[in-house]
Amino acid sequence: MENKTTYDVRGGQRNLKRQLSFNRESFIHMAFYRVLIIVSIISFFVFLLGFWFAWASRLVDYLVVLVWILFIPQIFAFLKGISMVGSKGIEFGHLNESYASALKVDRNILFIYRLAPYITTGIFVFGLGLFILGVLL
Amino acid sequence: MKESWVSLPTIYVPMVGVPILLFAYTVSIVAGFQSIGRILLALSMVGLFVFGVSGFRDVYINHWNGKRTRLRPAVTINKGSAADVTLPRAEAKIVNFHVNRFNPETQRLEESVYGVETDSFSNVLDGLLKIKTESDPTLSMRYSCRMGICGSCGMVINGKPSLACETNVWKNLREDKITVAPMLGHPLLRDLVTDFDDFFERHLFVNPYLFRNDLVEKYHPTVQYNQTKEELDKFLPFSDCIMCGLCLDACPVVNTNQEFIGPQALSQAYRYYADSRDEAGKTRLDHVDLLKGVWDCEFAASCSDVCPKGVDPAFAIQLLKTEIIKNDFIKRKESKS
Repeated sequence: MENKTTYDVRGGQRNLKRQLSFNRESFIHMAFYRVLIIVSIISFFVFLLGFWFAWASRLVDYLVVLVWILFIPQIFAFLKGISMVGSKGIEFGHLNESYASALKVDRNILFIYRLAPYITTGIFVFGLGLFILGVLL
Repeated sequence: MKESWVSLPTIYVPMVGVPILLFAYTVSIVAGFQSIGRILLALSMVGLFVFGVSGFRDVYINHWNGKRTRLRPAVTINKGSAADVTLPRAEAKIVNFHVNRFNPETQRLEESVYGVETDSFSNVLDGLLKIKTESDPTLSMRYSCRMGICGSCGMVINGKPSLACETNVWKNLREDKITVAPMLGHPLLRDLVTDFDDFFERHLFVNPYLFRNDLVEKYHPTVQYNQTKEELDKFLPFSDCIMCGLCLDACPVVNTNQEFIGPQALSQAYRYYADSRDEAGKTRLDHVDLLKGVWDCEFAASCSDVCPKGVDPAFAIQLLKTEIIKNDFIKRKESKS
């Protein structure tokens, strides 16, 4: 029996680029998460340095802005997930229409699940504005 | 140790907690409560550190385990373009198919361009079969039913994982051309053909069959296992999976981390968990309560975006996570009482 020889390109973070051609939102979510991980760790250490150096505590404020921005897609995706589960997959889901249309759900309250991620993310973005105006400037 | 006890407090709780703390920090500073603000900032920094370290383990360390190879740049071999083919019918259109073929000898994706006569009903598979019969018999692809049921002809069309037999050529033209490539989320064999051994191993990992304790009844059935509509509704959409592998190809986590079981297998784990006839119960949840199981899903939802059958694997994975969390709470309550 002939042996199969396969070639595998999976495993590298650069493969995230493939998302750009069909799901940009997913690309932003994934890329921001990866950057956020690094920035989170750096922020913590800069915060510790802030106890000794004044420049570090100023730098923390700028890092908080960066963290805040990087958190926006994560918050939105997290809330989408909750809305999806709450609405039984009707909101933000991709269920087969023939199934979804026959599903027993209270369709009068679905708009809450539809709007909740946008409203909450909006409040979070408002918070960023407040932070920049009230703390940074 | 169960992964939910690690991932929940270190990733999911900080994901909600840190933004709330940052918000509270801002409000307290704006309101003039500096000392409270400093405490809130310190708490949010600790949360961020825990989140960062846990995410680093999840995304970077775990992903380093994967084999990493790079496809070298493509070379173009022109097999004849639209200009070389005469247009026989008024309603027909010659479309350039840019086929990125994987060459196992050079380990490169090599682009071949073919001019193909198409009409408004032609799908990409029709075009590829025309190329194979009329222009280039060496072109390899996998296909079978030609009607979106077998799930064999999965490939990347214009950058999106799709079934070739369900993708209309005219409706998906980009600058008068169609670009076809193999699914890079699976090991490559030749041209557009990918290897599915790894895919089926992942599928088998979740024990995709009904468990019954009544063995005598199982092998010598005497009764029917009736289900109500509500019971059926819980798993019905997830049972439509045709195992085409598009979700696995689209998943950014699978593409960056081979350890992750993937959306197809996990959606089937939920499909059997939610089936009232199945008696495996909570053991199915414990089986996928792993970092390489449900907790590696970052909810990009690309799997659901490309699913041709509306299975919505991303939804199934979120339901699994919810069930695992619920189950943990119930267990803790029971152990306390």
